[in-house]
Formats: sequence, structure tokens, C-alpha cells
Amino acid sequence: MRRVRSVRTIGLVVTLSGHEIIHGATSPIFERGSVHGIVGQNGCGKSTFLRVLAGFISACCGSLLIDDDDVRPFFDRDVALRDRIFLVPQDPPIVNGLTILDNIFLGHEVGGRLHRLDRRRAIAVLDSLLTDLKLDWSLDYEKLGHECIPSEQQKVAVLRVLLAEKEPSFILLDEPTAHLGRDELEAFTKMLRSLAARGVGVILVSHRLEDLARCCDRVSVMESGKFKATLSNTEFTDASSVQAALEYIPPTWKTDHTNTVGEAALRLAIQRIWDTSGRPKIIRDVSIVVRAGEVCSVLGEPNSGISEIFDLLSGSLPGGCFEGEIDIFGRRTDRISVEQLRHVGVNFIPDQKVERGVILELSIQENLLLTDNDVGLWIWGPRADGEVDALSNMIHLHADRLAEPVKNLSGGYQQRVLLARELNLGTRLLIMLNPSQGLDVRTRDELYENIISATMRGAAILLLTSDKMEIDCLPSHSQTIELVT
Amino acid sequence: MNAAISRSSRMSPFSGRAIGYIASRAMHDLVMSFSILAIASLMFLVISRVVLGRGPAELWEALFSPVAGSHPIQSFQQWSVLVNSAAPLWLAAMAFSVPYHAGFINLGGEGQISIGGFAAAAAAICAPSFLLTSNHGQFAIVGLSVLAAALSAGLWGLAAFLLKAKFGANEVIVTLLLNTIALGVINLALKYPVWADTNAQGVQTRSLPGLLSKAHASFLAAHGFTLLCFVLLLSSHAYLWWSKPGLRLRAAGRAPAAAQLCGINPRQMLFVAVLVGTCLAGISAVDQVFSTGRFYVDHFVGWGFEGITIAILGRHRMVGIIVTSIYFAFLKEVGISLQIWGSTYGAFIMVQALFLFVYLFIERRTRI
Repeated sequence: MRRVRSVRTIGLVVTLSGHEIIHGATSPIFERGSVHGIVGQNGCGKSTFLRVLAGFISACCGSLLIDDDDVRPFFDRDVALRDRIFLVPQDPPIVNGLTILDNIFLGHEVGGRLHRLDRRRAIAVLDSLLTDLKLDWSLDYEKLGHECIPSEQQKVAVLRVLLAEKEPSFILLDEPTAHLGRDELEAFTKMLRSLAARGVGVILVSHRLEDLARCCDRVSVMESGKFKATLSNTEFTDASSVQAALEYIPPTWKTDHTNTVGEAALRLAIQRIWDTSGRPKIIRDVSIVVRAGEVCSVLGEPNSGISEIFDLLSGSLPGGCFEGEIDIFGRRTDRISVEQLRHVGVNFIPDQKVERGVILELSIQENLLLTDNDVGLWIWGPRADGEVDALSNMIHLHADRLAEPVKNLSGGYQQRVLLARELNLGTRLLIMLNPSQGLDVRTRDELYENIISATMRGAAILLLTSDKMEIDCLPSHSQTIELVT
Repeated sequence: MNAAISRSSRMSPFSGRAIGYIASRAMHDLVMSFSILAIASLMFLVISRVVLGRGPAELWEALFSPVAGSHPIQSFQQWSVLVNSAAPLWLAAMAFSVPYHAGFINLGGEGQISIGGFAAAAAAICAPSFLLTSNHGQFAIVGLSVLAAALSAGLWGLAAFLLKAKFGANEVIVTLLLNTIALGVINLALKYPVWADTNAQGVQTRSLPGLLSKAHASFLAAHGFTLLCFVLLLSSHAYLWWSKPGLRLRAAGRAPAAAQLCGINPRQMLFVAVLVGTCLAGISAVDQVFSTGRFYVDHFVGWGFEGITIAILGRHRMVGIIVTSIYFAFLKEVGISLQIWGSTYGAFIMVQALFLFVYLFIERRTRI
């Protein structure tokens, strides 16, 4: 088994579904033993670049150099595995019917008769790894795959890679921090440093510039399928230096306006929420009131219950898991019907955009029209086109691409499609769970701008988030409730 | 940005994009269908050469030599026969496609078609006698039969839906089992002399009242069913691919959790899809019953299989379904294997299966 020292690409061209995603990217040298960050706008080819390095897709032309040996055109998944290059994708897959422990050890089960997992040994192995890496992640090993929230899925995927190979050459992480809470993030960045100290090369794609500034040795900036610049850690100290490399000037928010705060759109009095698996949950005696024309933020760690509040309001929390009162637009309700809520102008932005947001196989136009009640009978006609044109400006995509399936778009663009659909003029109450996940700085600021203009139109916004920065960046939010685990 | 999300007021009275999209999609379907059939036919020629030792020239001659003086593709009349025999298969294909897009694999087409055919015959036999003598009464009987076929097949399909929705049963197993159960039910029903031919030991109904066959012989009636099939095919295609309710149905089939968050009730969509699909299956049997003048148990053997094959090869779209079904009708008509393999039906099924495997292979490779 060899352990590679460095990876780089020269003139890499990658085409997916007829579109050239990477146009002759000549990358900096990614070295083992360092943490290398990649930033760039949504759709600039970051995830595609990582997938090429991990051998999941092949390039049309260009060279991929591993230890200065040109391995193209023979580079594929087997070569990547031989060279111990692993990828943790943006939305890591998880097997639904298996427990978290089974999922982590999938494919390399320890001990056990007939290849079954020896649970006691597995937990011991896992605990020693976590202690070794100084990771204080708390995971309920017996929770089933389909009950996992995104942060748990992300942790499972990272641990799976770390357990599969004691000494990986490179670990490629696509947006690993998007779903993590503040404390977990701290532990995660420390873990990346300790991995680098052991000689593992870490390539990290992230939109959270502050995280990159904190843990990376170098940061490369990608733009339109090419590498534009690489900054060493002496050249950037905080988010603004990377913003400068991205040639991005953050907007100055208009804070002089004063919204007229109207009547309460949502009153939520939670006496108690149980976990979906029936275990007693942390939330007790929380009262949330969201008024028209204001943003109400609820901040909490991923497992603090914010996703349960979202599930409750979107009608997917199983019956009997909630004790309390819900009042939407002055009407008390015991049973949430999303269909009725949609009719009165309640929209939702979930955090699992692939499972609950956009539908990958449907076209962009179809996704945009899914919730529109004014479009009439036909999805291909003048009225539908008018609606879609209005919404698609927000996605910044050419009208020719509207008939393409959403799965052809990058993760960030998929999120934009979701935002465009949910942030329309008819929104009276918007319930969001970690909405800026996977968005680049530019799109994130556009999202905030849209949220502000929605509140100015009199919409009520409930922001459920585990990212404090999201609240700090969003001006004019009127109240913050912090959930304590 | 505010302008970006404000609703556009510039709506053209004529949507060029929609027409363009639908036209390019139809052209794409047409090219794809012809390519798939051409590749499959080519493979068939190669296989027949290797396995049977018959060369392409021999096969070509078998396909295009005139049968009983005229060849199926040489006259308009023969073409219309081809289209007429393909028409019921459009509905049999849609009976698979519509539920498929709502996440329901309907393998029970054959049972639903048989139930529909039996109900159509029974309705025509039991129709009040004054209808037979009045001028438009015969058409009323045909209408009654279509309605009976649709309703009975729809109810039969709903049994599978209920088993899936209420008890979580797997629809593949349930619909397959219901095929056999349907035959059992029809056998039992054929014990009753009200509609059964008592001399035929439970395999066929009595013949339909005499005047009905006269009505069927007129040009309008002979082609009327094809027209009805086309209207139903176009409507179900428009429903599935062009309309908002169809979009909601497909969304519920693809990603139930995302659809639920969009205010769509996946179970309701499943109900609609199964109902529409199975009603179409039932209607597809009517023409066969009226053209032969009675319901016969073995009439519909293989129709479910053909429907599925045509739906998949036609890629669940109208143009593809029409092209594929006419091609199959042509193969059937020329009795391709009667001259080559000695067994028409077995060979025909094998050709279809071969086409299907070729298609699935191409699809896996190219993700078309």
C-alpha cells in the first residue's frame, strides 16, 4: 500500500450532462499533512472537482498528477481507493433501516460471528477513535438511519471514512461544517488539525469563510470552473481577506427603515416535545410568537429540538409527540395540514434540500411550480412561464436550462431553486430551518436581502438555526430565543 | 432583488416556450423510439442469424412478403387495421405508466383488462332490450359497456391500492396475485346463465345481441374505438406531463417527503393514479369484446405484459407508445415467427422481451 504525498491537476476539463463544469482547472499542489480549503460561488465546480479527485467521475481531458505521476486516463475509484483518497459528500448517504452504529461500520464490521457486528467491540473501537482525535461528539448509536438529522448523517459519514482506513492519504470534505452546531464545529476544526498533524491531507470545501480562516493552512479560490488564487495562512486572517480574493463586497444593509409590526402570525406554546423515537425530548415550556413584519429566530444546537419544531409546524412530527398549543393566523389548530397552510401563504424551507426540498428528477420549472396555486391547469403555458420567469431571476440561470432536471445542478443551485420557490410574493409566514446551508456568501446575502424585503411586505419569518452567524448576519431580526440542550 | 421576485406582468398571449418545449420533446421521443426499435431490430437480426441460422435476407422476405395477396403496410386500409389493433395497447400501456409515476408498479394490467372485458360484455348482454331497437340505443349500449368496463376495472385496481395504503402490502406482489384471482372470479361469474354461454363450460359469455355487431361494422364504430383510445391516450399524457395535477402526482411518486412539504397528499395522489390507470385498463378491453361479439377468457392473455413493454419502450410518453405499439402490431400482423419459428405467440413474446432487454441495457448505459 502506498501513501501518496501530493495531488494536483493540470488543465482539467469536466463535462456533466452536456455542460462543461470545470474549464481547464490547474490546481495548486494539495499536500499531505495540511488542511487546504476551497471556496467559490455556487456552481463554480468545487464539488465536481472533489468528485474527480475521489474517482467518482472522470475528466474529459487534462492531467491528474499523484506524486507527480500522471494517472489520467486510468484514474478511477479503484485507483483512488488504492491511494487512499476518500470523499465525504455534501449530502452523505445513510442506510435507513440500520442503526447509526451499523451505518458507521458498514463494509468493515468488526469481530462478530458470521460477519455480524460485535456491538461492544465496535463501540470500544469508536470510543477510542473519538478520544484519540479529541472529538466529543455525542451520538445515539442505536438511532435508526431515517431518524437522523443532517448533522448526524454528516458525523456518520466522517467517522465511516476515519474508521475504514487508519491512515488515509487524503480526505476530501464537501461542506462538512454546514450542518454542525457551534460546539461541534469547534471540535471538528480541532480534529482536522490533528489529522493534518498525523500526516493526512485534508481538502475542505466550505462557504463559511470564518471556519476556513480558523483551520486551513491554505485557501484556494475557484471561479467559473478554474482556480483563481491561492492564499497562504499568512495572507488571510479572517473572512474579509477571502472575500477580497472572491472580489466580493458585502452589502451594507439599510437599517433606517422601520417595519410596521403587525398581528401575531404564529403563536407556539410548547409544553413538551418528545423525540420522534419516543424518547423524552429536551424542549419544555418554550413560547414562540412571530408577528407579521418581523423575524423571530430560534437558536439551538442541531439536537436541541429545532428540527422537531420544524417537523411540528410542517405536519411531519408523529401524533402524540407534542403537548402544547399552536395558533396560526389567529386560528388554533391541533392538527397541522400543510395543504391548508400553503393556501393561506405559509411556506417552508427545510434543511434537507434533497429529501424534503427540491425533487431531483423533476425539471427546474416543475420544481418552481410545485407549490404555486395561481398557475392554473397547465405547467407549460403563458401563465406558468410568467410565474417561472419571475422566480427564476433569483436563481440566476438562463431560461434555456429551466427544462433540465434539478439533479443536473450543483448543490448551491439546488438550494437557490428551493429559495426561489418558497420566497415568493404570496408568502405570509415563512418557516425556515438552517436556510443558508450550502450557499456561498453572495447568495447568502441575497437570501437575507429577500428576507428583509419579505418582512417589509408584512411577512412573518421564523428562523430556526444552529448557526449563530446566521442570526448575526441577518439584520433587523427582532427577537432570539435560545434553546438549551 | 425585489424586482426579481415580483410577479411578472409581461405575459405573452402565446407561449412560445411551451410550444417549443412540447415540440422538441415530441421530436426527441420520436427519434428515441425509432432508434430503440431500430437497434433492437438489428440485434434481433443478428440473434436470428446466430441462433436460427436464418440470414437477414430471409427474415426481410418473411417480414415483407405479401400475406394472402396484400401486405400490411402497402395500403391505407391495412395501415388502419394496424392502428386499430394497436389502439387498445395504448391504454394498456398507460395503465402501467400513470400509476408508475405515482410510485405504484401495476403488474395487474391483465387481470384488470379481463375484468373490464367481462363487465363490458355482461353490461351489453344485460342492457334493456328497448335500447337495441331504438336508433341511437346501440351506441348507448356501447357507452354503457365502456362505463362498466372502466368502473369494474377501477374497483378491481382499488383493492390493490387499499392493500398497499392501509396495510403496507407490496403492490408488485398484490397486483400479480390479483391477476390470477381475477381469472378465478370471472370463471365463477361465468357459471351464471344470465350472461354465460352454458355450453362453453365457463370460458365465454353469450354472444352480444345481434344488432350490436351491425353497429360495429359501420366505419365510425370501427374507428370510433381507436379515436376514443387516442383521446384517452392524449388526455392521460397531457394529465401526466403537462398539467399541474399530473406534476403533483409525479412529485408524490418521486419524493413523498418533499411532496408532503409542498402541500401534496401522496396517498391521495396514489389513489387517483391507480384509479385512472385501472379504468384505462378496463376500457382497453371493450373493442376486443365488441369485435368478436362475446367475451372469451383467453382473449386478453399477454395484454398486461404487452402494455408494460410498450410503456417502457415508449418511455411513458404518447409518441413513444404509439410508435412502439404500431411496430408490435405490425410484427404480430405479419406473423413474423409463424414463418420462421413455427410458433407465433411464443416468438412474439420473445421478440418483445428481447426489445425490452436491449432497451434496459441501453438505458443503463446511457441514462437516456
